[in-house]
Amino acid sequence: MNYNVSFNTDFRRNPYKGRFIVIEGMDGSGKTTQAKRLVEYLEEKKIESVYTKEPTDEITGKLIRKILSGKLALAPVAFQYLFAADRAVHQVEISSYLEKGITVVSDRYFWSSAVYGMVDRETSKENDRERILVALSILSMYHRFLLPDCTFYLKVSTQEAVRRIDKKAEELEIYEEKEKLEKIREGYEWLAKKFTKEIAIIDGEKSVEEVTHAIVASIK
Amino acid sequence: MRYHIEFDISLRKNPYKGLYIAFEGVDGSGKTTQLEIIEKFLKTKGKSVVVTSEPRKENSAVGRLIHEILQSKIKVPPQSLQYLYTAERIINHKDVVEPSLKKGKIVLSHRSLWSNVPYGLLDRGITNYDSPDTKLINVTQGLMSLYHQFIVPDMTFYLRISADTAIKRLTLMDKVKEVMYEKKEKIQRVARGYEWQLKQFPNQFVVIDGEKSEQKIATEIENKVEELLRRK
Repeated sequence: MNYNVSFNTDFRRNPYKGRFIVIEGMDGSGKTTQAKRLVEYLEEKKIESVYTKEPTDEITGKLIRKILSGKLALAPVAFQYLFAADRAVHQVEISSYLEKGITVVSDRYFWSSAVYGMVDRETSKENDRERILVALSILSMYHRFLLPDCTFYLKVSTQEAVRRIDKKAEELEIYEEKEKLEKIREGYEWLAKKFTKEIAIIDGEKSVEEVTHAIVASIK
Repeated sequence: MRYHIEFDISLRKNPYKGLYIAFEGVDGSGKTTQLEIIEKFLKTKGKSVVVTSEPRKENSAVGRLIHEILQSKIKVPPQSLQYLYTAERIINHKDVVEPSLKKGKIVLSHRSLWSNVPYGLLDRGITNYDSPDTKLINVTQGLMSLYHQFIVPDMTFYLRISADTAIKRLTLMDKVKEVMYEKKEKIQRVARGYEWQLKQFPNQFVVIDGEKSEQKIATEIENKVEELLRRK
């Protein structure tokens, strides 16, 4: 039983006053540091801003963290849907800020799902990647996930990421194994090439100040 | 950034020895009752039966979360709930449905992927089933089933009842815990969603008049299942 399907899809653009900025990159790339610094910078410039993140601190985000820390096991594909469920929760929060004209800086967003989804499916085939992307774009349209006004991909080498994660010496989350990090890095590179208009690449190996500076310069 | 999308959706048939039978219908339509009757019937015939539900209430952290949300203990946006359903379905298929079918068992499922569209439509507040939104949700679900290769039940019983009957039964059962979905208007809308789906996939459903007596319905279902057993 085959059903032919044909239609056009598009991402949903931010219709609100507030600006929606996303920081992406693999673990250890400096996302959290930079997202928080950016909020501080914007606040200094009298631009009301908030820091948000995925996974959230809501019930869905908490379940994700439990799985990430290895306390609970879940099939990788199912896990991606948990992220999407959490994103739907996050979306309500984001929109409520943007509506009020507040700038939102998000530590990770749906781009992460595309990248991590590819790793989970262990796919490097162009075809499969396209399919995942299409699936995600349909889902994002279906669920009205907003496309960020700008996305910064903090590019660091796998070695640098590993070095930073080791330094933090926290419990290793399941994604933070070296080969996985390498695949995630490849995934981000692929995505950044695919969406040149949407994603700006920032050299994440520079000093904390320089990276913030590059982000700020790029926003203006 | 516009994408033109074109592809074929095909439903994945059960490739295994076992039988996959699902029960669909609005709350109060008699799914649980009929599932239990056919379970006993099959067991007396010496069949190996596995009962599951989508979502599961036990043995699944995601399933538990869904039930808590349905009982309104926790609030999340409707879309979030839809994703949780898919997550739970993936785990259920991987852990319960597929392994059981492989072993040649009969899987009886309280709800299935066919619940997705009617409830998804409800969540989006869609009432016009000819709208592009309807097509989109159908496509999305289809894509997901293609992507995840969910096995479609060999036979799905749709227990059709009126919203009035549903409300009457639910009140009698004093089981109106899942407050979210169990208001009359919502039941009507879900029922319309099911009817729309029946038209889209006529070969996938066995429609049962759920207003008949419990025994009459049970006999009807038994006959259909026996037919299916002979064919397999």
